[in-house]
Amino acid sequence: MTLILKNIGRRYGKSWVLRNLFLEIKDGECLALLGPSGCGKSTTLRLIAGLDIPDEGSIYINGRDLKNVSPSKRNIGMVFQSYALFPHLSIASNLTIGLKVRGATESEQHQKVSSILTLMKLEDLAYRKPAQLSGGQRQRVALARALLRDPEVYLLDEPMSNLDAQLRESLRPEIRSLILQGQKPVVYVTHDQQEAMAMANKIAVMQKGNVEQIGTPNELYNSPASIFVASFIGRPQINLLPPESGIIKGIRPEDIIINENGINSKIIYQEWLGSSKLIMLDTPIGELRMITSSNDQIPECPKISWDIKNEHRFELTTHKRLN
Amino acid sequence: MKKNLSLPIIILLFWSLFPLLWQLYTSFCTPEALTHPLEIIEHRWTLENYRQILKSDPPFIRYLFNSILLGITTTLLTLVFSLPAAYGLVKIKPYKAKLIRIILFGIALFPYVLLFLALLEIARDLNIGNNILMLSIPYSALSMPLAILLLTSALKDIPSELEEAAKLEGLNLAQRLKWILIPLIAPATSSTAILVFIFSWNEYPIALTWLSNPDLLTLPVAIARIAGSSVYSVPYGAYAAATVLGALPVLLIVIIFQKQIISGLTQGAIKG
Amino acid sequence: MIGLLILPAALLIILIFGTPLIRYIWLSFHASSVITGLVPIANKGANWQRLINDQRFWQDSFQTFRFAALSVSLELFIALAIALLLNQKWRGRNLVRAITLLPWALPTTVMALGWRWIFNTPYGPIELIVNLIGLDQFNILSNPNTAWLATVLGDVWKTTPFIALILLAGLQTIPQDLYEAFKLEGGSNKEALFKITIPMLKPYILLSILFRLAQAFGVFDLIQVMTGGGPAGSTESLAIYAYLNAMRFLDFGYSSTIMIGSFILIVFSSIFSIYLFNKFKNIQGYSR
Repeated sequence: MTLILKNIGRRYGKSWVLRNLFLEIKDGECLALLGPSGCGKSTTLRLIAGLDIPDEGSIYINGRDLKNVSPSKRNIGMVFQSYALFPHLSIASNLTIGLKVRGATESEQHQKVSSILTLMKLEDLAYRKPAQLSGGQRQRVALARALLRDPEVYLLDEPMSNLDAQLRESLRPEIRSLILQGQKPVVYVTHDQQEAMAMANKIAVMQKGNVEQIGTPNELYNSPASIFVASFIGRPQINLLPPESGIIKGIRPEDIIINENGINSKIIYQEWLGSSKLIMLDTPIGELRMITSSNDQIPECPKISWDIKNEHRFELTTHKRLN
Repeated sequence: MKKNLSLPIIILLFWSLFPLLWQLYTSFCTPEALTHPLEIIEHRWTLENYRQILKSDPPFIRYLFNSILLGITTTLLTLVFSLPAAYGLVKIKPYKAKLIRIILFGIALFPYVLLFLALLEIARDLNIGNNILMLSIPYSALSMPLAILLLTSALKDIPSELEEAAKLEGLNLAQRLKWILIPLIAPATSSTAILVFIFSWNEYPIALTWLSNPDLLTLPVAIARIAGSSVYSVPYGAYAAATVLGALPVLLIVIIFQKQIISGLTQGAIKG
Repeated sequence: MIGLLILPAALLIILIFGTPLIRYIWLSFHASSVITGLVPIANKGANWQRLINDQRFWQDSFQTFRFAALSVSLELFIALAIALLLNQKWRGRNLVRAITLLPWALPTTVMALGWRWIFNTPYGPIELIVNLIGLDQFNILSNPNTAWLATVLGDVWKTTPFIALILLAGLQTIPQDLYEAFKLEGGSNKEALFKITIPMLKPYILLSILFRLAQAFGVFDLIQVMTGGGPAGSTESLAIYAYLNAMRFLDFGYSSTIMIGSFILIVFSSIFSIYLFNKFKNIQGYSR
């Protein structure tokens, strides 16, 4: 099964929030839509769900054109950023209501709901209201609801953004295995590059309604197609050197090394990050970020350099990758 | 700070309660007690006023029943019309919805008493005067502007993601209304219902002109009829008993539903 | 499509609010009374000419205007005091708030008759107190100079709770740290009332004025039951006059003219009072 978006465009008034969008997501593939707010990633998700209508282009699931198919007929499992659990219904009822309107018998409803509750370790909470649950528990219910309907496509809209950082990291592997074991296309919207790299096997970096680059996390990191992608992926941010004969060079902080033959620099400040530390250096070519192991002893005025093959080169006018 | 609040609180209570307590006192007084308020007389207290009211023809209970019946029909009719309208207002284009809300607000301000003559003509032309249930048609129309505004603001407060999630779960419009939206705005709906009921319970000019059959009068009209005679011959004891009985249901409503009434009134103010 | 949901309510509202206005405008250019057998006959603006020369109409406009102006201003002051009191934290506040609400919830006709009994001469409590002190009887309701003040009191008593609640809702939207900052700057409680509370309440006060002014201009139940418009027509409001013309004199044409005339007066005076309120606020702001 495949989800295909062909030449999608959406505009509000005269301004396009999405233009010339082509995406293809295969079964068992998780595509992360990554970008700053307002880049069109959430709009893309809403267009797939049918909650918004594109002005241009078509969306297909397994070759079926979704034009004129209402959201309720699209068979899509969606996890909303706010989870969108019905606050007046118990957890069990939240999960049952969809089965009921799709015509499942009482015993089917009961059996399906209790097995998903067991799978998600929510049995004890079945008769609680959403407000009585913690953020993490609510998130599992929202996920359970999406899994329960055995959809043709999964859509996840910033599903972790309302959780604290620790919980987010511990939930990642679990959610990843749950949504991928369905062997269905998954679209995952996030503005957190770390989360995108952890969850998805493919990432589309978006900016101002356009896809800047699609690739595996590895490809995006090692050969970013533009300055925007290079700066968006990887923390601490890539160093951009002053333009030189129409070229902007980018060096990742972890690629900067201490070298007696290198250029002069002076430490401005340091940040301990645990196993590593971030060092801010003042150099003749501007301020540079550098990452080293916490244990390394760095002199006050180190000489630095980098391997030329770690340089990312971008064209000054288009910001596009050269090498 | 706390101590010097007690005087204003006592003044407030006296201001709010004195006229009511005076009615209560009057309703238990014999005619002699009323005309000799400061003298010591033998028969000061009586239940005769209440007995007289309950035994009159038609009995006073009849008016209570009429008003309750009218209040319930009006409330139901108002909600049946206002709920879909409010939903529609949330879904249409924002600038259109805003225009309609401003118009509704203007209509809600309108002193409806000026409508009585034309409404009387409508009642006469359609032959629906002297009919308690038909009276609920103008009543619910008069309540609708405010009801729609209140329900619209409640519906707007529901996060749009909830209804979208319901759509994706496969619920059609009727199912979404029944299982998701209406239960979620239940608090606002009950506030609205109570305000509409109180309006209907208190309405006077339209009822005065539509109803002439003594068996069909609503409470305010029946009570005003007692006053219809001259200033000096009003049977105040019996009348006071009637006002006490007529005020009791509203008293209960205010005490039980205080929260809903206040949120209804203030929501209307803040968001209307 | 979704707009269709609005249609039934819209049609009913247009039927009940819209058609009467059109009917009145039409009737105001027709004679329709006992003389014509209640069959409308066009009379080329004769009703309007009569209205302009009708002393009773202008007398009633004046009465309605002073009734509304005094009621609404008193209500605003008392309601502000009540709202400030209810906005503080003290035990039993919820119960007192419910009691405060009672006058608003009771039928106007019921309490109008109650007031009539309270103002009764010689058995009402007010005359009793006057008697005890040794003064002459007040005869409040039979004196044209005082009867209208009694109706104002009845109206203020009934509708103040409504304004108090709106102002209370407004008070609760004012962030507490504004007051704390003001006090740190050395401001007193009294200054805070005029420099923070009242300016911040402005939209709520405006809303109350709009709501109450229109209703007070249409005052009917209270006056009908309390004084019947008397004594000597001194408490007669425009709505009462229109009612008398329709129901007692059976002159539908002229009654309609009065109602359209009143409607025009209401719209103008509402706009004018909002203008006055704004201007008053500006002058105050300038003088500071």
